[in-house]
Amino acid sequence: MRKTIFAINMTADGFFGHEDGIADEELHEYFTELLRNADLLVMGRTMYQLMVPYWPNVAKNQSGTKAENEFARTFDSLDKIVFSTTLKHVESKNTKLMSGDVAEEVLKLKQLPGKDISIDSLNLASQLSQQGLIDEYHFVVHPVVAGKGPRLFETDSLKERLHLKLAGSRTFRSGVIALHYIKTETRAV
Amino acid sequence: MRNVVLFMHVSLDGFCATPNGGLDWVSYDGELEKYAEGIVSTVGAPLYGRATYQMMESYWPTVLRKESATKHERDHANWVENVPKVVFSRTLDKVEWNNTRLIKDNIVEEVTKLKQQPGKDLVIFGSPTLAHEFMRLGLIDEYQLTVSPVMLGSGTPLSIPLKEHHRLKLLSSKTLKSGVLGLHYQTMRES
Repeated sequence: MRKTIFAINMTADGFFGHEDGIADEELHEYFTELLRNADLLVMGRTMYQLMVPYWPNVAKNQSGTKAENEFARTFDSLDKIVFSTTLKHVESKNTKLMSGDVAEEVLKLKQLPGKDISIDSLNLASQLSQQGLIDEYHFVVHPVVAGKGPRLFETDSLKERLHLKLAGSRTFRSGVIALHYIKTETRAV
Repeated sequence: MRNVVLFMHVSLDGFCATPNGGLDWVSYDGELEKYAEGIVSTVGAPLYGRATYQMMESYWPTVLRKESATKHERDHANWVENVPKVVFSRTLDKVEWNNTRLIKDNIVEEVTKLKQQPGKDLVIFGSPTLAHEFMRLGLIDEYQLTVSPVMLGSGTPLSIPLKEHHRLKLLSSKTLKSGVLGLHYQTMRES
């Protein structure tokens, strides 16, 4: 079965969100590498509107740094599925709009042949994670205490603790540390 | 000047206790015990909030009298009995544990004076309430976090909403066999 991955920037105190992170070449290279193993991105409306048309424009104009351009090219080239009940149409090519049951659709997609599926949305990841549908997590921890911000499982509260297995870590020059966890089989708490 | 260090076990999603104050989710094994001992060896004085102080004060002295205590427990009990301790509380009137001082207000002033004394670091052990107060006052110089590979979903958060983000510098990280990650950060100050 295809692997689903969830890769996201995080603060040292467990919040997600985009301010104050260190977005340097090493960071963009890390995310690009993950995307290269994928052939499908799944996101919600919020993430979609954050990423598009920003990154496709960077890809078109090659207006970023070397690593940003490479990330943009990779992002742009991937097929995307956007789950939304409110969006009426999507502007990027190779993008499909869906509004069905996310878990059901992702399970179907996992059973098709292909490379990794990257889940690019906090809300979708919260849902899918609890149903055991996320195989790998990449938490890229930035050296900052934010005090507040969106949390994982905020919109879909955790019914029971999620135990993960640390598979590796990589420290960037900036002090950002990328943590790679894999799903464990659920066990009684 | 010595530093104020926050030593806390946290979950991957940034909680330091379950809603009931439980810590059973911490992957506590021999390796983590040894890692914690390493941090304890840097401590000049533990800093406690009231709740943690009362827990420590009612537990550790009993270990000294317990025949079945392990060497590690006995060593820690001896250490904590004799080390100078500081409790921060507006509601307590006195503290009775050996070598313990109570600070009731003027926290910033008192902590600054403590930092100027010679000696090893001032370390908050657990004490989320005290940690939050110190974070709010900008008093934390270093974070020693152990991150257990579990998401709790809710509980006592490590941090509280602050006026601004606190930027940190990663000093070191260590992976334990259990998947626990030790992270040592320093707060970056405007120079």
